Formats: sequence, structure tokens, C-alpha cells
Amino acid sequence: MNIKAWTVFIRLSGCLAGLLMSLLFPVQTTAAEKEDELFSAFRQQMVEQQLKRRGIADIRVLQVMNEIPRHVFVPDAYRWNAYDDTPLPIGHGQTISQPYMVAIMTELISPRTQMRVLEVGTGSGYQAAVLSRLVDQVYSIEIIPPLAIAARKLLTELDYPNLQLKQGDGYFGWPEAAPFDAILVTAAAPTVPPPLLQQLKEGGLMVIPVGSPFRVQQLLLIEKRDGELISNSLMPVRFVPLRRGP
Amino acid sequence: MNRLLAALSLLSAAIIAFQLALMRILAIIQWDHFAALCISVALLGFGASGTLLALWRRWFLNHSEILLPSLMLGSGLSMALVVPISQSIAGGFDTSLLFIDSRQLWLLLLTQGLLLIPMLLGALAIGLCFMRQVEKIGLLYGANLLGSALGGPLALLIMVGLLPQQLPAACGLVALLGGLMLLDNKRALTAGMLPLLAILLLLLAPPALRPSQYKSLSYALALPQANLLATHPSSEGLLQLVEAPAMRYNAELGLHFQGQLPQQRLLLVNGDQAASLPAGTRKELGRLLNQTPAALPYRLGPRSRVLILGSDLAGPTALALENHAESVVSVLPHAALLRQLSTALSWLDSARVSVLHTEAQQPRTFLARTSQRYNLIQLPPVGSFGGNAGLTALIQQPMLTIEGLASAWQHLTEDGILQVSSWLDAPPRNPLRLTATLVAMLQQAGVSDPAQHLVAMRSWNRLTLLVKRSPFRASEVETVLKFCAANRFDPTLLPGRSEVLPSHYHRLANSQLLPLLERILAAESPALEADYPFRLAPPTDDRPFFSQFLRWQHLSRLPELLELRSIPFLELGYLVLWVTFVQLVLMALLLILTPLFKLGWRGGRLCSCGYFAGLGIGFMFFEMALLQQLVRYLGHPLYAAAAAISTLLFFSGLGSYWSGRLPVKYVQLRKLLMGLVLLLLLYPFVLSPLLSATIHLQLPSRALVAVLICALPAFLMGGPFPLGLRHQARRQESLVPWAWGINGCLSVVATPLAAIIAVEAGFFTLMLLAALAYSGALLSSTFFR
Repeated sequence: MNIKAWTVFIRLSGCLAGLLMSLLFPVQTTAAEKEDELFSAFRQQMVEQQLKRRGIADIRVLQVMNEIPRHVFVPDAYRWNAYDDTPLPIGHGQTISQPYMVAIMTELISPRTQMRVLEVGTGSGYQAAVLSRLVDQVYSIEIIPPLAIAARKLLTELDYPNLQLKQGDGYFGWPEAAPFDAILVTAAAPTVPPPLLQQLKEGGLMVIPVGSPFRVQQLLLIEKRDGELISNSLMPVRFVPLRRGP
Repeated sequence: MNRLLAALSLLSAAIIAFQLALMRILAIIQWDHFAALCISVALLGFGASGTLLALWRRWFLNHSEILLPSLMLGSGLSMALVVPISQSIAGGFDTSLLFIDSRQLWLLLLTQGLLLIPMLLGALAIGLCFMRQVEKIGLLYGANLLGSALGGPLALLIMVGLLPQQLPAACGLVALLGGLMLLDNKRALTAGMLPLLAILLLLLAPPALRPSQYKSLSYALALPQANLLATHPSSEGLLQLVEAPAMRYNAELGLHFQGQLPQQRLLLVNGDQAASLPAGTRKELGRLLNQTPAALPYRLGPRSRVLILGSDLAGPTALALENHAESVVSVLPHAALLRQLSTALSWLDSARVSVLHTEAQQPRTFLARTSQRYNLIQLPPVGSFGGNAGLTALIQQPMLTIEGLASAWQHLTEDGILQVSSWLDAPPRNPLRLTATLVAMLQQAGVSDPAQHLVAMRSWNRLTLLVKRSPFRASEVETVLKFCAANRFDPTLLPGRSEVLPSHYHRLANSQLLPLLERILAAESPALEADYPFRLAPPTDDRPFFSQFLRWQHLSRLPELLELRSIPFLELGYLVLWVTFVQLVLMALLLILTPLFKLGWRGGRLCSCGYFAGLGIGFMFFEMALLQQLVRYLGHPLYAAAAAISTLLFFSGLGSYWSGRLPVKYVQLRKLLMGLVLLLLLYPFVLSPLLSATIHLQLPSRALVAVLICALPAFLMGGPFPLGLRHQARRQESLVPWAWGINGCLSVVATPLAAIIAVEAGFFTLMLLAALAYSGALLSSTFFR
């Protein structure tokens, strides 16, 4: 059975199970609680079907993605698609990345608790939220003012104290907070910005989707070793092509 | 009668102009492939009109006096209204969201339905004219075709003077004028003033177009402090100049580069990036680009004469001037873009006076007409402009064929270098096919060991290939190695090394590319082509679709091959064409078969259907095959296409008018069709040599040759349809609108079918099949005996 069919099957099973449980054990639950339960089931299914099956093995990454409510990071119109195996539009020509992309990019930097990570392209804030549960400090930059405002409001409400967000041009990075153990660029870039490479710590890693805008990009993992930069071309991806002039 | 002919011509011109205007608008708010998808369905309005006229023939005829002008007025008014309406419903369709948001499917169907309305109303008016006076069909069909012939030039004219959002109203006005001409009494004329006022209002104050949020223009304007500096409508597209502090020039620099990338302005055509205008002086840009792979040819020796084909103008010119080029020729098939570039970059304009020469024509045409040789010929990166895997896979790329690359090779000096690069994709396709095409070109040019003439290196995103006219020397190979080391590029193919070099700076997770390159160099291309899941065979002029990689036998493996994660559009371009075709076939079948429930199934229906279907298919096949050759011959894609189509329609109109004088005798019809079939069988064999022999002529002479080429077959193709209708009317008049519908349906279905045949079998076969389609009509015509 393909993933789509599994999705439908598990959703239906979840609904039926929920219905059966509510009939067998009637308890006073609010609509919001029921919704949360459903989203929780979808989230678990996302982790099992989309992440584990495709080889995401970092237990902490899987655990965090199983906990963070992705549906609050997507527009209301797409809430019920939040755990689908797809990126979703969040307005202003931007998207929240597909769950697998969030997981693989996070896993690639081998997150550890003492790390300081820069994210370029906050979007709705989901990737930053995932990172903030895994590393010591997260700095996130969003260039589109309305998105930056909305993400700041949401992340403040959800309480991510080790996450700092600013509106600005990600090309310049965050020199005041540099150097970083890892840098994640979460929107397709036609080139690798030199200031970001300079803000990467010795031994640091950068994950960036680069390539022809409006086409399929390559996910690059750039390592800084002995002052030299080595790029590893990992896989084809399709990100929303953004921000830098092509 | 004269008023009717004039009104019919105006309506026909308006419909063609509206079709072209829609193509422009849909390309601006979405993309070209969406435009083709919508318009092909909208054109089924012609088929649908035949069905409606056949089903309610009597009613239409009884009310034709009032219906005819009303339909024309309605067609004109709906032309002006459908675009604003479709944009205002739920923000309009967005093709980028089709795979994510299920509402988009309904919006797509709604958009197609809305666009169908003006076509349907217009086609109903035309069909009704034919149905009322079948005996004068030659004259009426002639007026229809002559009007259609005027539609192309009319569209080009209004595209220069008006903004895209004004175009539908302008077309609507022309159709409306046709309707007003047919109104006799004062009351009706007064009523006709209301749509006129509405159209004038939409012409003078049209609602702004709302491009997809995923268009380059939308991205650029979403950036802080972004400014739309200029908007220039042109017949070649809507040109817009945008600046934003956050936009920076994308140079292919090594990762060790420590400086700042210059800011840039963007020049967009129809909302998509067409050219970069980097800030700073020419010298600063030249120095920056000296650290990119594009600079390698200059390190290998002086390049005094440089030819830049179809590429971004600013960067390669700055690099050439920085490296002391004495003459730089830039060829771009987009005159308006060239003008804007020259005016927007002052140093480019001043360079034009002394060193730089620009030519607005197809690179292939330029190469075919010049005898000049160059030290360096640069092609644009494969996959960056017009054509890559995915939805643009069906774009013809005549420079990226064996013949196209050979034409560049022939214009190299003895130490001249041809440079071209390709984006690295995974699984590898573009770099492999590019290398295979270059190797095939070298083999055909008589080079015994192509590896001695090839150098390749890799950056983090591209493979750059250099092909030298003479074999690379050992000292040059050393220079390549030094250049790569200094700029952190990985040398990949070097003469004298049978194996592909290992990666140092840029590792490939997908290790297929390097061994596959080795196989291509080892002349194993045919074997590789046989077992590789994507098409890698070098494209030829007959099948110039470089970016079409899809192979049917591996379709089911696509998700696995592409490691499908979030790439819904990859490799779907050709599939979209098939989906369009199947959708059209189903709708055409419905439209053709429905009237038979009323008209009956017996009495030679199959022969009638075969006859009018053959004419529709034959005309479209011939037109598309001819266009492919004439665009390259004349050099200006848009004008060549418009001129060729208009010429075909004009002479077909004359042919139709002439056919009105022929008696309704089967022998006449048979003679006409036999002559046409013989001529069309001859064309595939004589056309190419004729065009090659005369391509050196000046443009007016070539235009005359093109007109002569079009004239005779077009004249003959104009006759069989009206003659057939007259035969049909004599046998059973009630089938006339049905026949008109069949012709309309099949003309529409034939368009994607022609593209499929061109991809699978080539344009030569397509032209032969045009003759075959007319042969089918000839066979079916025995029914009229």
C-alpha cells in the first residue's frame, strides 16, 4: 500500500477507534481536546510513515517532531493537511516544508544540546521550534516582515525561550551571535551566501538547498574543516525558491 | 451580405487576437503550460458550437436574425469579462497549489469553463452564418479565415500599445463592433450600447492582474523596499524592471569566496526572470566573474572575438571586456529585452558603441547566416533559461541539438572554444545528455577521439564543459588544473585521462554521474541509452526537445528514481500534455457523438466524420511542422510564428473563396485533395534543403520565400472544407453544423497530438502524417460521390 493509502487508512482507523472509544468509555471531553487527540494521532502516524520509513533514525529528532504541534504553524485553511506528506503554503509565496525535509535537515546537522544554530528563513517558525528543543540556542531570520511578525507572536505564545527571531536579510546572517555550530537555510538559494560561510564555526555544518530557482534544487551539506569548505550534494529537493535574486 | 462578411471577419479576428491575449495573460499570472492547458480546452468551444447547432438547428435558424448579432455582442462582452471574473473567484487558480489544495482543481475547471464562453458564443455565431447560407460557404469561410489571418497582427499591435489587463477588452471591442454592424433597428442598437460601455470601461480602467504568489515578480516585490521601476508592454512579452536591496547577483563562485556579491536589479518577462542587472562597474563585475568557471577559456589563451548566444548579457560581456576581447557579439531572440538591457545598464550601452554588437534573432539563424569565426562561443547554462525537466520539458531548444552544436563548432577558430554548462540534477540527466550530444556532434564532425577536445569541471551546482576545436595541449590541461585548484572547482574530464577524476571539493551523494560520463566518453552511449531509465539520446533538429527525459517504460519507477519527496512537478511536463490530450479526446468524443442521438447513426456518418476530422488534423499537423522550420529560418520566433500562421490563414481564405466558384462535383473535390496530398508528401523532402539554400538572404527576401512556401498548400487547404460542407448540405443539410463541430473538435485535439508526435517521432513524420490525414479525408470523400 502506498503512503497516501496508508494515510487514509490510518486516519479512518483513528476516527473509527476514536468513535468506538467514545462509545465504550464516554467521558466529558471538549471539542478542542478531541481535536488535539486526532492531531496527536496524525503526528504519530507522520513520524512512523513519513520519517522512520524513510530512514530518519535520530531518536531525539523523531521525539521532538512527535511532540511539536505542526498544525498550529500552518494557516487555518490547511490545518487538517498539516501532517500530510507535503509542503504547505503559508502566504507571501512561502511554504512550511514537508515534514520529511524538516527532519532530514535537522538530522543532518547532528543536533546536540550545546549547539548554537542559525536558521535562515523562519517562515511560520516550525523548523525553528523543532531545533529549539534539540539545541542550546536557535537564531532565526525571516526577511518577509508579516511572516516574521506572525512567527514571533506564535513562538512567544508557545514559549520557546532559547529561540531568538529577527526580521532581516538572511544573506548577512547574524554576525552578533556568530559563530554557529550549524546553519540551516530553509528556502532554496541560487547561491551560497559568503557571509553565512564566514559565520560557520570550524567543524561546523551548513545545510542549504541550492539550484536553479523554480526548478528542483540540490540539498547541499557544507562542512568547514581546517578552514576549507567541502560541499556534499545529497538529494534533489523542491523548495519554494526564494529571496535572493536568481 | 457585405455587412455580414465584414462582421464575420471582425469576429474571427477578435477570437484569434483574444486567444493570443489570453496566452499572454495566463503566462503572466501563471505559466505558459497553464495557458496552453486552458486555451486548448477553451477552443473546444468551436466543437461545442457545432454540437449545439446540430441539436437545435431549427431553433437557431428561426431566430438567427436576432441571435447572430446577440452572439457576437455576447462573445465580445464575455471576452472582456472572463479574465477579471476568474481572477476574482477565490483569488483565482494557482497551478503551484494544484497538488496541495483540492479546491484548485475546481478553480481550474471553473477557469476553463469561463474561458470557453467567449469562444463558444463566437463559434456559434460563425457556425450559424455558415448554416444559414451553405451555398455561399466559400465566401463566408473565406471571410472567416481572412479575419482570422488579421487576428495575429492585431494582437501583436495591441500588445505593444496596451497593458496586458487591457487586452481582453480591446479584443472584445472588435468582436462587439462586428455585432453592432448587424443591428438594424434603433432599439437594438441602443441595447448594444450597454455592452459597448461596459467594454470601454474595462478597457480604460481594467482590474489589475494578480500573478501567482510563486512567480518571480511576486517574490521580488514581497522583499522589503522592493520597487517596480518600469513596466513596458511589448509584443514579445511584458517587461518589468524590479529592484530590492536584498537581491544579489548570482555568480557561480567557489565556496571559498570571501567578498560580497553585488546587488542586482531584475528584468522580468511575463513575471519570470529574464536577465540580471548587477550593480557596480563593468570592471568590478568582470573581476568577480574571473573567479567563475566562465573565465576558464580566457585563462587558456586570448579570446579576441567572443560570441554570446541566447544568454544573460551583462555577465558574459563584462567578463569578455575584462579579458580584453576586441569584439563581443551577443545574440538574443528578444528585441525588447535587448533594448531594455542596453538602456538599464549604462556601461553596456557605452560598450555597444565600441566593442559590443547585439543581434535580436535566433542563435541558430544568426549562425546560419554569418561566416565569421570566434575564439569563444558561450551558450547559456542548460536548465536555466527556457527548458528543464518538468513542465517546460516540451520547449524546443534548437541550439541543444547535434546540428545546433555543430553550427557553433563550425564557427570556432582553430583554437576556439565552445563553452556550455549544465545544472547538476539527480538522478543525472542534463549533464549526461549534454555531454552525449557534444560527443555525438564531435563524432559527426569527424573527430576521431572526442575526449581530446573535451574538458569538464564541477562547481557545487554545475558541470561546465569546454569543447576546443583543436585538441587540448598538455600545457592547457595544466592550466585547467591550476584554475580549478585556485577557485575550488573539481576537474571532471581531462584529455589524456581515460577515467573521470574523483571529487575533492564537491562530492556527489549520487555517484552515478561520474561513471556514466565515463561510459559516454567511451562511446557507450547507445548501450547506456538502452538501459538508463531516462532518455539520453542526443536531440536532433527533427526532435529538438533536449529537456524531455521521460521514458514510458520507466514511468512507474519515477517515484523511486526521483526519490520522490517534495517534487510534484518533476518530469510531469510531458504527462501534462498527455492529460490535456486525453481530456480533449474525451470531450471531443462527447461533443461529436451527442448530436447523433438526434440525427441518427446511419447514412455515412462515419465517412463524414472521417472527412472533416482529416481536414482538421491535417491542417494543424502541417501548420505546426511548418512553423518549426520557419521560426528558425526567419529568426524571430514570435514574428515568424505570427506571420506564418497569418499567411496560412490568408491563403486558405483565398482558397476558400476560390472554391466557392467550383461546381459541387465530387471529381473537383477529389482533384483538389489529391493535389494537396501530393504537395504535402513532397514538402518534408524539399522544405529543409530549400530553406538551407536561402537562409543567407536578407530578411525581406526570406520573408518572401516563407510566404511562397506557405501560399500554395494553404490555398489548397482552404478549399476542401467549404466544398465538403456544400456536398454535405446537398446530401443532408442538417449535418452541416455537426460537420463544422467535428472540424473544430479535431483541430483542437490535433494540437497536443502534434506535439506528442513531434516528441516521439519528429517533425518530419508529423508533416508526412499531415499528408496522411488529408489522404484519410480523400478516402472518406468517396461518400460524397
